[in-house]
Amino acid sequence: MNRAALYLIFCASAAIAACAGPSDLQKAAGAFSTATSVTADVSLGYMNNLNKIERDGYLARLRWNPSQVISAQVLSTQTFADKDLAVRYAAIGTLRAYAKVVSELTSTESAQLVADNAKQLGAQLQDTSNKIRGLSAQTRETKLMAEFFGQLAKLLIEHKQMTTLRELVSGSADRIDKIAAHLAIDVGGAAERELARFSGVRADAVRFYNDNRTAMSDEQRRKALEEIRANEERLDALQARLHEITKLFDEFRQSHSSLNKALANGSSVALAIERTERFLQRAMDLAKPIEALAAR
Amino acid sequence: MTTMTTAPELTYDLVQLILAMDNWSIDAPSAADRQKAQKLADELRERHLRLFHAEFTQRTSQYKAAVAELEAEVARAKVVMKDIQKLARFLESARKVVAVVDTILGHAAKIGIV
Repeated sequence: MNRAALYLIFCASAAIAACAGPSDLQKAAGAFSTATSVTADVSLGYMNNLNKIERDGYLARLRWNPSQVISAQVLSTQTFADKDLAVRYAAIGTLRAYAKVVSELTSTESAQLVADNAKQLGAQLQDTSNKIRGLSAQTRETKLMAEFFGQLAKLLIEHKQMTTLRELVSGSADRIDKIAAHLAIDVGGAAERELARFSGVRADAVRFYNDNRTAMSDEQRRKALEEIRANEERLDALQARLHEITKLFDEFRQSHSSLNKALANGSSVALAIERTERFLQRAMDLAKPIEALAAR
Repeated sequence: MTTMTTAPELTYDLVQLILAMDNWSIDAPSAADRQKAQKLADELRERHLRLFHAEFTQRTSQYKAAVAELEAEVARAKVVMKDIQKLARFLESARKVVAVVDTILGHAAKIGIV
């Protein structure tokens, strides 16, 4: 019984030493994971289309300038080099890998799996030993001990995960900020290129209408005005998107900062309550096999 | 007191200027002014591209350093997760071994060995 009590105290210490409760962290990690996914998708979309924006913009202007011929050199020129783009793709990939490992570290799945396996292993061992004459008497506690050690392993694994997560998130904060800041400028710049290119196309269409409206048939005028209307809508959407991009990257950085704070701020009342609740639950889980052991 | 304008602020302002110039290329009272405005808007578009491209190329090395450092942090955390997963797998394997032993013992019991 004394030994069991010592185990309980040891496990209680491990639970208290663990930082924020999993549900609190899982919320912050979940928000960060979503923010990373959206940010990575948007960034990838713009980087993939950076050269296309320039080529499409060039071709769109030719429509309103019949005197200008198409230049093969302009068509085949990669304004933004593959080697520069590859670095951005790597950065986006690393952000995704980072969010994945953060998510894994906040998950209790592995720890639970260890506890479940230990419990089942104990049950199997007891069942097996029962089949051997004379062995069952010496190994009847096997099942309970395995369950107990499973719970202990679960606590220690979660503690290790929390420690690793805290080190990872606080150690990576500067790098995440830097990469996010660089991507924000690149994606913002790409959106600016799209807007600047399209603004020229939109102005061409309006000038063409103003210069030729009297020579147009009713049908031609209707089509031209419809196109101008659609262009105005697209221009508004492109301008709005430019502002959205700035907000997106700000929110991404904020979500990482929240995760970092949730891990660092171990003294907040909410976290303390959550941690206590978690500890009590664990203590009860641990107490069951210990009580059963003591009763034998 | 003057403050330094950052490259993103500069390119943003340049785009706003391009939009304004494109509008002037439509609304200017004389055809000559409209043409001048159109030419200026196209030149600004080209300058915007050159400025953004130069900054884009320059940022590549800055990315490399930050990405390499982040990759190292991620790799360290992955090792911990792998070790934890290995433990879970080890217990699973142990259960499988016990199940095999159990089967053998079952057969042994039938013929009265155990």
